[in-house]
Amino acid sequence: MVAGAGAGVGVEFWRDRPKAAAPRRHAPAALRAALAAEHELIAGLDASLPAAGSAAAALRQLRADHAAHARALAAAVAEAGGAPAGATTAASGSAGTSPPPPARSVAQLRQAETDASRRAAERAGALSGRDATLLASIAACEASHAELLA
Amino acid sequence: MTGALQVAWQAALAAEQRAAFGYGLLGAHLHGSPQLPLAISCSDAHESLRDGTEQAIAAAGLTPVAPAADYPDLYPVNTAAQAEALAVRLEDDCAAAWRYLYATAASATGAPADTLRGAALNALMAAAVRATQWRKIADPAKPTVAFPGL
Repeated sequence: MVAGAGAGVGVEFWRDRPKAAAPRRHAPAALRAALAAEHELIAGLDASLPAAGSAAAALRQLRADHAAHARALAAAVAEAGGAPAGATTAASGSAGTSPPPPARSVAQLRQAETDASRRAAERAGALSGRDATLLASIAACEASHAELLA
Repeated sequence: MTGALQVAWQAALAAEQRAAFGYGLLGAHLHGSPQLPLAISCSDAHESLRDGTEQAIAAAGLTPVAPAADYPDLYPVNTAAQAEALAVRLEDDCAAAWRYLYATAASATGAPADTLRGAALNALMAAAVRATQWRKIADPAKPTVAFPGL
């Protein structure tokens, strides 16, 4: 009797659970890593802009592109399974959990863009469909950033 | 290989044929200009990509699409400024064609799709870089786009 009553309570508890408690899918790691990388690039540009001199206009253009990338990636992450912990809006720069990076020279920023392009291309290869295409386009943009800073 | 993949591959070839034609058209207006070496370099790149794509399509047992005799939408080109603007447009159009092939391949499976993904990504990135080289001249206020090929 007791066991049966207990089982009944369990069934009712299960039935009363809200649908939102269903297991959530997780966004692919490549998407989350790409979003984090965009925030790092934005933070690096923010740190470098005050002393950029004649390169400031180019760096602002790069920052605007990275902010657009971050917005698109955040949307893709959300669609795939929710926002990553510590995510912020694209325009606000880094995720806010690490100290701001030091200012970099234009040559260092160029190398960062080259590296980012390569990693975005690699991440595209780990994905399929729209997410892969988004990363491919971002990789192309970051290759053009390196060209702009040449 | 799916029909969609074949269509996208042929469209990429058609874009390269058009670009090769377009550079022949615009190059005549850059003689004596500091932009002529860039135009020659881009023209060589498109001719090489056109020929390589055509050979790859034929090797896959398909009939490569034939180039058009003329491309009326590329005219008029009467000045160096128009030539530079056309170069930007040609590169953007090639980026769009290769991005479309990448998107189609990224939604397909099998060895041909994987191979085409790699080729499309390389061509997309190269077109984005060339577009920025021209934008630095023709539209220095906005030398990059966030999502090349979109």
